[in-house]
Amino acid sequence: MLKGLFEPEVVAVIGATPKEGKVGNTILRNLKDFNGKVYAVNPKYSEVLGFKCYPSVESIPERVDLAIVAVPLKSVLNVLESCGRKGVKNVVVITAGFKEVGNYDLEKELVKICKRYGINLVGPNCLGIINTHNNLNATFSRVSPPKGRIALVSQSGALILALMDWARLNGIGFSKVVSLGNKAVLNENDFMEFFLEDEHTDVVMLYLEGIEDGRRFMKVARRLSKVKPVVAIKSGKTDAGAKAASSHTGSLAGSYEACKTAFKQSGVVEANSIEELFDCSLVLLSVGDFNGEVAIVTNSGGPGVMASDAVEFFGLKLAKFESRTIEGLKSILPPIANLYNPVDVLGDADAERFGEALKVVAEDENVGAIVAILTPTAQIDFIKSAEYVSSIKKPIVTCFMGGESVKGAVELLKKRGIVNFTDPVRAVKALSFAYKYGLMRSKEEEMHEEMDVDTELVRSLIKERAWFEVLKAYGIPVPPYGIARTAEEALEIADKIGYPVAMKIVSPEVIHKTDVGCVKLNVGRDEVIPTFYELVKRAEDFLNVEVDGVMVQKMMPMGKEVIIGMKRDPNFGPLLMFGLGGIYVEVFKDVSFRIAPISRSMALEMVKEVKAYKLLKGVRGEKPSDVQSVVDVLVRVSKMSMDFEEILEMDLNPVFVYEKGCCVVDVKMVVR
Amino acid sequence: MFVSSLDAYSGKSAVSIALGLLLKREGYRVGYFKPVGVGRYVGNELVEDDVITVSQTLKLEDDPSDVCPIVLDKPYLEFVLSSDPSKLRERVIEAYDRVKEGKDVVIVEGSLHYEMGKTIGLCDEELSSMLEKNVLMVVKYVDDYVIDRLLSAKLRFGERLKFVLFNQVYGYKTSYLKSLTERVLRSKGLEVVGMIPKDSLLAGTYLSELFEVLKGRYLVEPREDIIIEQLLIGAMSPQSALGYFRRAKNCAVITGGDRSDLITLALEVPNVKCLILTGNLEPPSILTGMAREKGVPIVLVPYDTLTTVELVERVFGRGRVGGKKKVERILELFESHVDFEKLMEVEHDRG
Repeated sequence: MLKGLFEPEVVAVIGATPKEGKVGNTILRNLKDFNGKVYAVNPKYSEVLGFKCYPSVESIPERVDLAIVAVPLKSVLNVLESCGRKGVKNVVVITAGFKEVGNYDLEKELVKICKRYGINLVGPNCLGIINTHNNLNATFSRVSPPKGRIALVSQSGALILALMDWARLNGIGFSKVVSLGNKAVLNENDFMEFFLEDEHTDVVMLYLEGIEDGRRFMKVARRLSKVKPVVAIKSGKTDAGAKAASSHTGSLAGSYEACKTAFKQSGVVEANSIEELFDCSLVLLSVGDFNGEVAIVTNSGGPGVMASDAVEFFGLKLAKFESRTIEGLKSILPPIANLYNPVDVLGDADAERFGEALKVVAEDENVGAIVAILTPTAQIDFIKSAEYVSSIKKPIVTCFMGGESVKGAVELLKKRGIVNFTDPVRAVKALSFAYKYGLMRSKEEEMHEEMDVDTELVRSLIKERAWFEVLKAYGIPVPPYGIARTAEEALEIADKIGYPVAMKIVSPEVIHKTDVGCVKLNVGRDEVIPTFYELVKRAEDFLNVEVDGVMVQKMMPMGKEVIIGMKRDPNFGPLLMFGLGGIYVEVFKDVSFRIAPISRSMALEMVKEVKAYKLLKGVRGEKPSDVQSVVDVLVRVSKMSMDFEEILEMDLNPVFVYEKGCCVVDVKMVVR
Repeated sequence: MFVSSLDAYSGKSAVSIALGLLLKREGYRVGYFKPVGVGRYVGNELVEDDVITVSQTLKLEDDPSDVCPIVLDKPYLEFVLSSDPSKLRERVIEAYDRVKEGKDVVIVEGSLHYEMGKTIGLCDEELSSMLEKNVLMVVKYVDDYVIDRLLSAKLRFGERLKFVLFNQVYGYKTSYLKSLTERVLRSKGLEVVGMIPKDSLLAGTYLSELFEVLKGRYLVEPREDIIIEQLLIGAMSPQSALGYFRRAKNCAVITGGDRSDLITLALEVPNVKCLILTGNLEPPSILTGMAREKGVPIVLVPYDTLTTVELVERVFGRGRVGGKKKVERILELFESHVDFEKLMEVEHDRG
């Protein structure tokens, strides 16, 4: 769909001008090397910078594939109409003054025109787009990036300028660059879809403040990340950041937890800084994914130890060498050298010893990737070492530490597509991203189970705020209970379900019932009536709230307490939560998240992810709890949150888990 | 019928509107009379809000000075000291005679509460007997003790007080009130004609009323006069705010104009109907544009949050009962919770 945008044959720059420093001038200049035809459009001129100039796009005597619009705000709609009539299917609107300054109506008009003519529109309020493979630089940037295999999509145009400038200095190339602007028509999802098929792109880099249509994002990102890595910075994660992002682009302060989870579930590698974004993208480009088993080969003990620490810290493993590797190393290294991982070839090593050791290690089946560390000793020849490194067939990153003395070698490595870091920790961290990517990519999507639920019944139960009944309808275990409106009724219910019972106030206004003494446990027959009165009196006296009645519930035996929750994120939909229950849940925050729908194995992962999982497995001779029953509730809650959009929040807390089965003892919901 | 109440703001005007509309629907020529009103100055004019609202809703054309012959134009004590009770009574009777002309039924609404006007001989008990009306007592269910006050009122009104209408009843109390009606009230000669549940829409305040008291300016004008049922103060993180916004119903969010995170979030939640931004801090234009696009009005006020809340609370829960939405709801509640036939039987017997 976007081929015409990046691979046009004929481009028109509308608003082209000979006045230097103007946007319409810079764009035209940037298109001088474009491998296609370029026309200028401006009624005032017949020629601009050597390009033939027409009064309107419609007067260009041939088909136009792409129009770049850099005209004053008041003319944008007319120009777009004219593009539509001409049949231009791809338009980049550079002009600002739309949604970003509160001009929603104008932007709506813009979208209307695009819909009417079927125009793919980038922007408005953007820097433009670049395809390095046909020299299409349709931006007003003063820098042109070198060709490369990374696609960069950014919501901030200014950031693109800085990144391109910096990348040029460091010899990093791009395949495509897209400045999203206001995302009136095309957004990150459309471009990710395009990069799926783009043969020039191997890694996709995203800078986003807000995500349009989180559900589609996840779907597209999942497909894309299966074939090529997607690395993203999502800014506006903290409260301060969210505040800044909302005033910058009107991006919604959705929950960062949801975004992080969405990235994880869709295989997007998250970077937290520009440095990480590049480190990670470059390593992914060079190494791809690997099994997480790292070998360190170094001529210097200190950096080797640092790298080993980093391996564990970033969730990687030091590979255990096969015996033939150790034998091999023994035959080439001095007797005092460390033959085990990390391999220390010693400070007196020359490039040859270092290179031979690398070769031996690279042949080890257990080794997934190598970190090659060198410090500038008198014996080491960096250029020769770089040659050895480039001959290695295994994923490898280098850490040639130093300044002037390593410059040439680093250049050589860069040319051979090997990434060098000046800090061993940074090298290992970058590798860890590649491992994470591999893990995420290898996850198979499963079929989600069907459940037999009477949705009409549930809909009416939701209206009645009968939360326990809603759970029952979804096959989620709850204790027997009833709601009493009078003390006598309470006794009737309790007689029916058997003693002892738990009694609690039913009132939409009392959220933390236990904290305010509105829950009584282990109530015997004689105490039911006085307890009813006590509870309603407490609620009224101390809280001055409206009380619907008193719930009389069978007293369940204590089990392991867990909590299962759901919060509907405005961007990504139902965010499910699992954690250790009890009153300290908010302190420990030992919780895991997934975005619904989830399968049984995803639910099991959620349960295993929290530290408290050990408690469920049983500690100090305890019998294990029924983890599968929790998994079952999670899957059912996931299904419920997918079936009923009106459920905005849900809190099953506590859920008692027993040796066999579990039971939801209390539930809260917020519905639309 | 004389509509009285134990407390101020109990819902008398709403009841008068419902009675008036239902009677009109049955073909009666209906009049409305409020002998003693409490005025307030709007510009140079002294107005009685109930009189305006009820007359407009029932589409009555009587002269407002007849509909409400006595309007307090000064503090009550000054009013008491400066008036001649006998002249006031005369004025009431004369005005009533004019209002009832050509009407089949005149609904009379008491002043703030049934005891008001005692000092000048114009409390509801005296007015109802002067005008020879049966009394319908509207009892706002503020707490359980209203029962005692109701029985004291019964002693004062005697035979005239026949009907009781409980208003703003909630939850499990309904069952108890039913038992109480059977065991106690009936034996004291009181007939409960209905129990109207608490309704947040009716308790809500029109944005125009809030706007009037806030003296701010609209950054985004409302498309229509909306009803605000709840107030929220946005001083928390967006993550905690989301839960509050979602739980609230038709709410106005009061927050600083610099809290763009909360503003964006509020605009995303349909329950948030209005934003009141404090400190005269205008939000970035991208956000005003977004609010305009979503039809969510923004009021900018010069005060800090605390002052704003204080101002808003002056009118909150005391809003007028007119307007299409509220009137529709009044009728709906009245028809499903009040025994209108029973009320009418007695009126017919009298007639």
